[in-house]
Amino acid sequence: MGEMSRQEMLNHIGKISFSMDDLRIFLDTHPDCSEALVRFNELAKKRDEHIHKFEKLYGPMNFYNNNVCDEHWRWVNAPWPWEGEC
Amino acid sequence: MWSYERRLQYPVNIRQTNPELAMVIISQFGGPDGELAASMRYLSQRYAMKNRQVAGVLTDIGTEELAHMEIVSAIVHQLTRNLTPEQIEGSPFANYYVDHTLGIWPQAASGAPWTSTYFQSKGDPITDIHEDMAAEQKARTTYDNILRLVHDHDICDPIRFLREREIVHYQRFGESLRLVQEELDSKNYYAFNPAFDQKC
Repeated sequence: MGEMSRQEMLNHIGKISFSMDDLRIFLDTHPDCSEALVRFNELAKKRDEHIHKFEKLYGPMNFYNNNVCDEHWRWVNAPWPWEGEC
Repeated sequence: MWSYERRLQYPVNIRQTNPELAMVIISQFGGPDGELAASMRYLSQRYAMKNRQVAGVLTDIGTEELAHMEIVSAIVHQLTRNLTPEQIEGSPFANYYVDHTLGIWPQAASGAPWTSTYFQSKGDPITDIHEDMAAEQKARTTYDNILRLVHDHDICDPIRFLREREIVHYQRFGESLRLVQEELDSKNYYAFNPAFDQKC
């Protein structure tokens, strides 16, 4: 993750998150699938790490667990996702 | 992207069913000034809202309205839970029951189905925020109308919470209007659309 741009980090988080979205609905109907459970837990840990790195550099991704800085509310500063890359 | 939390924003625990009141309260799910229209209004308007701060207000209030939709739905659900055919027969709930049994479906108190014509997304920030402020007041009036008909504390309590949020949202939209107005120059005060027309 060292040299990734904001967009590259977002794409990476997007891939991990989508894998989790897909596993979520799979696990809803296969709650005892150990292979899927292990994979989900791996991804959840990875996602946390990447989100933490992203938020330190570019501001909050999520609302509830955003790492708020004491001087300024950063939630509304960064580009909104619908603005696109350019 | 959205993620779901397994909790209501405000608790709903109704002990006594009441199909008549359910038919009134359902308007705040799928009626003209209900929470579904509110959420769709704000979330749809975001894309033309060039001011990022105000786009954030639309995102956050639009998201909260989804949570309010869930609260209203939970109220209707608990008011109609486990009803027997005898309790439904002859009640104003009977017509709804024929089409939806005890399922939750967005409609107005009148029975009119939810429609996107309940809101506008005009692509003009000043126009849209005025609509939003009016919408919050209309929803507040509707909750006041509902509260005059409700005497059960279990129902009043979450309805009062929702009513309060309409007032808070109105205040935030008022501030949003000021933020957008401050970006206008003196030649464009309601003369043209700041999100579309050049050089305003």
